[in-house]
Formats: sequence, C-alpha cells, structure tokens
Amino acid sequence: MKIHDLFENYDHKTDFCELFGPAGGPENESLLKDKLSHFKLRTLNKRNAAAERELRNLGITFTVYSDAGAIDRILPFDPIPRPISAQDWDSLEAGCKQRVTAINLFLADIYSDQKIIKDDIVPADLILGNKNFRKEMVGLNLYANTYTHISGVDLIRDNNGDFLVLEDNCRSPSGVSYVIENRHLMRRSFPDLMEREFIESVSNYGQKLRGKLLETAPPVDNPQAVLLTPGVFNSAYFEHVFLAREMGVSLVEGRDLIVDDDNRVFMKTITGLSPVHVIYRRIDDDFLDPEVFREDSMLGVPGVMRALRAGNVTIANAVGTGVADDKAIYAYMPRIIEYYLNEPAILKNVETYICREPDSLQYVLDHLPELVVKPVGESGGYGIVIGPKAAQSELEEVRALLKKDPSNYIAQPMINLSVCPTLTAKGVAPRHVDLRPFVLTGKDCWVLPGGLTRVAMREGSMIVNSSQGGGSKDTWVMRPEASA
Amino acid sequence: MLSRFAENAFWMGRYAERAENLSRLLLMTEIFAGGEDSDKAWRPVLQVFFDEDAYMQRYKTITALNVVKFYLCEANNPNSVYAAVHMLKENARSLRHIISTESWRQISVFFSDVQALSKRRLSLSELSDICSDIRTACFTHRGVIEGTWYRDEVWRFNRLGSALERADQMTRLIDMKYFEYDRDDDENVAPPDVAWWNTLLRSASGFHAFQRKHPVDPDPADAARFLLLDTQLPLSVRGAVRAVAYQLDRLHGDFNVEPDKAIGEALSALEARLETPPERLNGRALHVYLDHLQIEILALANAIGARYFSPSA
Repeated sequence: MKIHDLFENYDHKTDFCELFGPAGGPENESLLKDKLSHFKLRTLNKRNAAAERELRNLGITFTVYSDAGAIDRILPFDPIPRPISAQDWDSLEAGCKQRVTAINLFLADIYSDQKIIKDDIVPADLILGNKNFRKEMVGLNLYANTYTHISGVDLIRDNNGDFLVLEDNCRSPSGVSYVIENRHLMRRSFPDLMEREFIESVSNYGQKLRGKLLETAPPVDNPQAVLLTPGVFNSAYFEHVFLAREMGVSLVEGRDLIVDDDNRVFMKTITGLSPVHVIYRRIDDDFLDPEVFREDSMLGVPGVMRALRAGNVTIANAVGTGVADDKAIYAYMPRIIEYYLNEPAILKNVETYICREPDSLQYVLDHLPELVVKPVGESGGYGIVIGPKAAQSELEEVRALLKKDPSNYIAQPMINLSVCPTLTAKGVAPRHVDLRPFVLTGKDCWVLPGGLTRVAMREGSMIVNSSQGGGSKDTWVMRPEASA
Repeated sequence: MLSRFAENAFWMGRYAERAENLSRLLLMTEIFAGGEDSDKAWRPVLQVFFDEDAYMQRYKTITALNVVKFYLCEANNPNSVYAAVHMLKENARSLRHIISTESWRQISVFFSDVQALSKRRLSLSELSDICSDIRTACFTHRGVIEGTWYRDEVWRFNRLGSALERADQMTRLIDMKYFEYDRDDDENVAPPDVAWWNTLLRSASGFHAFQRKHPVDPDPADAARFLLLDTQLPLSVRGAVRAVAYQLDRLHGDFNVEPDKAIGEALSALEARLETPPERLNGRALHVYLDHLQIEILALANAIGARYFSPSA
C-alpha cells in the first residue's frame, strides 16, 4: 500500500514530460521516479532551501550591479533532475557534433572562398550584409580551421518527444558553470536520490576545454592559454572565475595584456612580461581590439587583431562567428549541413519558412493566424508577431510588410516546450524546460554529456531565461554501467 | 603571476587585518568608557583615523553608539569594518579562480554577516559579542588561508600585506592614547595608566606572556616595549616587520621575484628604527616614535606597490 506519493496531483496534460513520457502514452518507469515519489514535500523543500543557501555562500551567482552596489543573485536551482536516456543522448550528441562541424566549415568558407554563396545555397546578402560578418577575418587561416571552439545548441522537445534546435550560440555561450555546480550541489544535498544511478560525469569539462583550446594553439612549445573577462562587473563573472579555475589558467582583463611591436601578446606579471598564445575571450567582437573595432573600448586589448593576423595568437571563439548563429542563417542550417557534409541533419530545426522563397511566402500568407513571424535582422524579440495571439489589424499589418519586403522575414509554427516535474510553492508541478548542450571544438568535436536544463519557474511560461526568472536543473545522462 | 593578482592578494591581507584591529579598538574603547557616552572616551577613536569631520557630517554629536555604528557598519566610511570586509571580498573576487573555494565561501559568509549588522538596530550591550564574532571570523579567515591556499606567489603577497598592515595597526592602537601630544603641551596630557595598558595587552593576546616576562611591577614603558619590540609576540611591530622581511626574502628565493633597491632601503630604515627605540618609551617620545614608524611603514608599502603592482612594461 502506498502511504503517500509526491506525484499524486502531478498532471502534465498534453505536454511531453521528461520524467513520465508522452501525454496519453504509457508512463516511463524509472528508479529515479520511484525514489522521488517516496520523498516528502517537506523534506524536498527543506533540502532545497539548504542547497540554495549553499549556492549563496559559495557565491555561485550572477552579479547584478546597481547604484546600491553589487548584488549577487543565485540562479534558482530546482532539485528534481532532468533525466535523458542513453539512447536519446547518443543521437543528440551525434546531432550536436554534426551541426557544429558544419558550422565551422561554413565559417571557414565564408571567410575564404565563399563557395556556399557561389553555389547559391545561402543568399549573399544574408552573409555579407550581416552585421556580425567581419571583413577583418577574410583571408585569414585559423589553426585547425576552428572558428567556434565553444558552442551551445539550444534544444526544445515537442509533444512527440522529438528534440528540435531552437537556436545556435556561436559567440560566447554561457551557463556551463551551472551544469557542473548543479551536479556538485545534487551530490551534497541529495546523495540518496543519486544512489544506484549511473550518471555520466561532467567533472572533466575544464580539462577538456583547455585541451581543445590548446589543440588550436599556434605551433610553439608549451603554449599558454588565458581567459579574458570584461571584469568583476560582468554579470557572468562567476562563470569566468569557474572556467579559469577549472582550466587552471589565468583570468585576465584587457589591462593585463599587451601586444608588442612584433605582434606578440604578453601578460604583465610580477617577473615581467610572459607570453600568451590562446585567448578564450568572454568579450564581444566590438570591444575586443580598439585598434580595429570600437575605439572607445576600455575592456579590450589594443593590437590583438594584429597578433591574430601574424598567427601569434588564437582567439576563441574567433571574431565574426556571430554570422552563424543569426536567425536568418538558422533557417538555412539544414541545407548548410547537407552542403558541407553530404548527409541529412540529424537534429531537426523547428520548421521554418523562408519568406524570400515564393512557395514559403505563399504558405505563410495563407496560414498567418497559426504562425509566428520574425524579422531576421532584429534580436531580443523585437518585431515578432505571434499569429494566434495577434489582433486582425496586426495580422493585416504584417501581411503588408511580408508582401513589401519578404526577404526580411521568416515564419515558424507555434512551438511548445516539454515539461519536467519541478518544485513550486504549491508542490511538485510541471514546468517548461529547454536544453543547452555544450560542444567543444579543437581538431574535432566533444560534447559535455547532458548540458544546461533551464526551467521556466512560472506556471505555463515558456521563457526560461535567467534574466526572466528562469532556473536550472541538474541534467542526468543515464547510462547503465557508466560511472557517475 | 599577474601583477594585478599580487596586488589583490596583498590588499586582501591588509583589509583582513584592518577589520580585526578595528574590532579590537572599538571593544577597548568601550571597556574604558564603561558604558559612558562621553566625548572624552570616544573622540580619540575619531582622531586616530582623522575622521572627526566625516563623522560630524553624518551625526551631530559624539555618542558611543553612533561612533560604534560609524566604525562597524557604515558603508560610506572607508575606515569601517563594513568597508574593510567589503574590500576584502572585492579583492578576493578578482582572485576567485586562484584562491580556494573554502576561502571564498568564508569571505562571502563573513561579509553577509557584516551586512546583516548594518540592517538591524544595534545596542551597546552587544558590542562585546559582535566584536568577538568579527575577530573570530578574522581568525577563521587566516586559518582557512593557512589550511587551503596553494603556497604560490599569491599566498606570499597575502601574507606580506597582512604582516605590513599588522605593524601599522599596532602603532595606531597604541597611539590612540598618545595622539593628544599632537594637539597639546606635555603637561596637559595624561598618558594612559597601567589599567589601560593591561587591557591593550589582553586585547593583543599578549597579557599572559607579558606577565611571564615582567613578573614584578611592570610600567607602561615595559608594556609599550613588549607590544612594539618583542620578537615573539605575534602582534608586535617588530614581529610583523620580521614577517614582512621574510616574505620578501621568500618571494626572491622561491619565485625569483627580486625586491628592488627602494624596497631594500625602506625596509632597512624601518628595521633600524626598531633597533634603536628611544630611551623611555612613554609620553611624547613614544608618540614621536610611533609617528616615525607609521611614516616608514607607509614608505615601505609604497615601494612594494611601485615595484610589484604597477610594472612599467
């Protein structure tokens, strides 16, 4: 006889649930679910409060600076992990590797021969007219031909349980520190929940990152890597600290580095100047080198682009990778993968209609009330029209815009995110989640098992961003016989 | 080792010592004021930090509670415990990838405890407990560093900063009662009595050792000599300066980081001063001596900064 069940009132309705499975289908059975169901809500709440206190004490925070000084905020942590089966993971891992391999080939191509433009696969204006396209990179040969060393692939899961790519992140994807710290936290706070589970380890990320970065270093003996941060005022400063520590490299600011007249990079130490060969930078292109980009940048390193051109330094990620994670290019990603690798994309995009193509435009115009229309140049959700929620007048407005300038738009069906049981003020309830695996590229690709699961803490919300009150969960790749 | 890291580690050491000494100074003052709000008891604290104007802008009259608040939890007072622990944390923040997580955790908790103080009502009757908690946190801070930090240049610079600040703070602690010589003629100044010195010895954890060394009829000059020049007392100025010399020597020996000529000269001057104290360590002579020590400690700190923290590349 069951005395109580944590999931007694749990109902994920029509959503796919990461723990229970598809709506209406047979429930997934798992050791994790059994163990969780025997937890008392009070115990879960108590341990969760202790875990969050520990996050604060350890300073695992993103920092918000205001007039009142530094406010260290923690990313809300949800104690119910998000499981991924080994079978699902193997296919996700292959899909992520494939996608990032193609993205690197794409970047190498657009900054050299531009075959993909000549072969009419992607329209020239989407690449050459992109504000993230950096002409300074044209004709440079990068070590190992690697452009995006660290990539994040944002995935969602639809009602059938299929993983779809929502967005690529090829500039400075953040969040990996939470993946590892969440695991440490689970181990400390919920050892009983982890008992008898075989979870793939995430603890060697720092070593892998350092190794992959050094694979792309200039050919010198004992190359030195550093992590370049904008400084303690940056909201992701904790992550910079974390990564520098895990890699065992110096966390430097622009003022700590100089480039000499021979285009070599050095850091200023108490024993004089010490050479630097790889810079993992967490500074945007615009601020990286005031000699080339924004002159008023106080954060960057004057001359670092000279050093790059001279082949004396590797900058990770490379300058100009932002073209690849642009919304307009996203729509072409399945074709980009086919073009460079001669194989179909393993991971599907959310279905995307490219309005500059007449058939797609016609479809979009015929189905406006069902679709989400997005301008390609804009970021941050600006100019997006959500068909099912738009007034008739708005639909007519966007119809006119589409006819006038179709090239500027893409359209997608309404998407739904899967849910995962999550601890809320009213007990355990379904909340929407996404997943960001992290892909490292040196001479080849490596994927950190799992990734960052972000969770929208508000009921019904699909906005998982930390700036909008999203939290995170430990993500378990469950592989029998692996050692966690 | 980046110059900036050396500087941050050095200042971590200085701010931790500063917080510890402030709590010592407040508690001593309160013991001697005996719960009285008198201007006479509390003004010297403001004088020794040159804070009378800043304080008067904030509070109208000198009361025990306001002076205590001013030095415990006033964020805008750079000489407060709050400011010291805040700066300790901000310097540690730049070093987080190098220092132990245990150490960062302790600093975070320490600062949030001090922040909590500034958000609630305080009463004088708690002062002893609060100061004792602050000192304990400072001891823990030092212990966590001792037990967990890797023994690299960063650690050396932290110990260097700590030793230098300790030397400086002891001169200020003693000068609190001798400061009046600056403002008045000798005959108008009443130097502190044996009871004050005993309290100071206790607060510097030196009372029992002092009793062992001076079993009969000690006088204030003996106590001053002990606190300034005893080589075995951890808080003595000479002990601290020896630690400074040792750390500089190890930086050279273990890490090939040579001190320059200016550091050598500043250190020699300070050491010479400690070898040749005035005949009688009391009254105006003591005040003048403390003044010289402070100037020489500052000169040494400046030389260290010029050599290590702002290298001309």
